Amino acid sequence: MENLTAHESLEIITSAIQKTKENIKEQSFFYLFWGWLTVSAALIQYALISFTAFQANYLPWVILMPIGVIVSVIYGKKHGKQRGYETYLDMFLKYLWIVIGFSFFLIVFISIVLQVNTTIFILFLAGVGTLVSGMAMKFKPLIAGGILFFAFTIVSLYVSAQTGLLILSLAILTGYLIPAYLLKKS
Amino acid sequence: MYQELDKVLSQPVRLIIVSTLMKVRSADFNYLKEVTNTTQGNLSHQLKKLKEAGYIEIEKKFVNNYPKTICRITSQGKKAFADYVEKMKTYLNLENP
Repeated sequence: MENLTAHESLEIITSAIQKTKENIKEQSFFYLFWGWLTVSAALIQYALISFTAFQANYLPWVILMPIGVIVSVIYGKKHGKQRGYETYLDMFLKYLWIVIGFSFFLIVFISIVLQVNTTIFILFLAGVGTLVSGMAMKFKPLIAGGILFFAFTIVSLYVSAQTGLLILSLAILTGYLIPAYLLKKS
Repeated sequence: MYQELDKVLSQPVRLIIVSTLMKVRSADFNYLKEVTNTTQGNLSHQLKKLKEAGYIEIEKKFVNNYPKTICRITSQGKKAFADYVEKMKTYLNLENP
């Protein structure tokens, strides 16, 4: 049995704790992926409404969102396996976005039943997720992004559903994608 | 007066494992092998000792037909680690009055 001195013990503890770093940069994939996916869905739907007579203009969402879920699950599993550990922040962010993601589907259903503009609620939910993520990561651009989403939520109250899709795209670009690129570079 | 030290934690590899698991929610065998810089056999042995002491829990599962060992610290392990650190602080105060 090898007995350690107090100094050796503290050195071992410090070194082990420092080796396992919280790497928020790794989160950027999800933000970039979902950011571009939702911008694509919103702009395709806008184009379908503006330039075609196609009735089922919501189809881009129906097709792209499930693809997003599948890709995220596969990437998350693969990445977790490569890294070999999961931090509490990883776990928190994962559950936060799973719940927010589920809420998106629910809010779309609710807004269809109530016949109200879905974009308002999507912006609001995205704001909650982005702001909480930014605060948990202590990453200011994402905190600012979350606040921007709330500002765009108010703006979307005063525009048509069609223009709301452009507002949504602009909100994701400024409040989500720009912070995500900054996160990737951090 | 020196207090009785936790014999489970006063061994380098076991202390590295517990320190690492204090910081993360879970870590797999390969990652712990990397941070402890020890052999597979020794790591298995030390994990078993920690499990017997009730300081960690070990989950074994299959991912893509490969066995995967995932370790997590228990509340008993957290308490033992906190006590150990407190004793170390006392020791250091005694050494540096």
